[in-house]
Amino acid sequence: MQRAIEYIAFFVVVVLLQALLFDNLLISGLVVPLYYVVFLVLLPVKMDRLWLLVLGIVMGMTMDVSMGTAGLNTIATVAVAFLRPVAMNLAMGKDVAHESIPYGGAIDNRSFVLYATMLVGLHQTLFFGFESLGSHPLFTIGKIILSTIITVALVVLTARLFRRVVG
Amino acid sequence: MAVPVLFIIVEILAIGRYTSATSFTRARLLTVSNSVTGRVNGTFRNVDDYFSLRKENDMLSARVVELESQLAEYVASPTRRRITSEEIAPYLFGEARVVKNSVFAQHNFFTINKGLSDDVEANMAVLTPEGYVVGYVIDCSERFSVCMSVANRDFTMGGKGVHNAYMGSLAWDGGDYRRVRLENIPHYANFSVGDTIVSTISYRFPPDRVIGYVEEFEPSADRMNSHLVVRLAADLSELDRVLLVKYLDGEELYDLHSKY
Repeated sequence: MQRAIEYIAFFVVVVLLQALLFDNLLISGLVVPLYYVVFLVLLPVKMDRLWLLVLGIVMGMTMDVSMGTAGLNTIATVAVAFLRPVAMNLAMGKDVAHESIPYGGAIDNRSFVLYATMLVGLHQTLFFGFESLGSHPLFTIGKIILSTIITVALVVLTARLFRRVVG
Repeated sequence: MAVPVLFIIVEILAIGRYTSATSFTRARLLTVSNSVTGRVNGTFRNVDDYFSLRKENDMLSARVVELESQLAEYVASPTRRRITSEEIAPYLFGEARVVKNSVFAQHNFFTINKGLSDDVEANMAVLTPEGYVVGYVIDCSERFSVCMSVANRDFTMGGKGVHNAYMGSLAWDGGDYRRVRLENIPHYANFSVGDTIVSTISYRFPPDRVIGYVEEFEPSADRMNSHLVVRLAADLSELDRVLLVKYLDGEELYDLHSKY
């Protein structure tokens, strides 16, 4: 895999940011950023589907231990890892095939934001949906929408930095 | 072909694990992650300290005044009453600080900076310095303990009105972390908005500790049990210093109860 060391470092940074910063920010019950999904969003374009899934499992299990959620994060990350090629195809089409990272030079902002929104939205929907198990449906939907907006903004900021450092 | 199959298998395993997990399983995981992040979280706490000194000093002096007046009353009372008084209950107190907290999940826990090496053990009650109920210890490592917050869907304890003896069981419905419900109170019990709800004695909690105040009272329509909405006295999102309470006879009470 290309840039293995960069991605390992990125994994560590993302996990620490989630555990030490975002998990401790008690802003509002409606804004609970699950920022760590950025790692799966920014994995290399040509990454093998099996590798994607394995890294989805690793990230999910790491966050499950960190947050004490026993499986909840894994439910969400595995689905994101599995459906990532579909989201990439829908949002960016053939343009992305020549890029190495999802936010490559030829990718316009709109396509990337659409791609990130699909994955982040899927992730937060599964996480908060399974967490609430149908109770307080309106509150849960509000939480999914607001948390997705904030997380997508964080993902786009990170992607810009990432392109400068790695890309 | 292999990838979709692996995806489905992992998804089923994860859902199975999540839906069968108990609060104890979740607390165990947090105990493991605390061994990695606990120290760093403690460092953040130290930075916070400088900004809350004044507020804390005010609270502490108010508390000293309250305890001094209770002590004065106690010393002035006749010896006989002192011996038979319920106040001489076999409780041990300790203090700790919250290093990690959560309020927006369905199963909220917080972590304190004392563990097995400080003689903390499971089922100790956790109160704010003002004496308000916030949770109890569920799992300990050497230097940290994970506590179940009142705002946890698995949390349960007994509560009663401070002015009447009607008891009910306290539970959180997963919504607003500032409000809990007191359920299964008899339909003829009468409460009014603003009444104080305190703990009943149990193997975890000392009696008569303030839980919160009645916000809504819904008398039962069907002459079955009614319930109360209780606004918590403690602000769970602002936990810092906490008191730990161990009931020395707790195990005996638990053993006796678990026989029936």
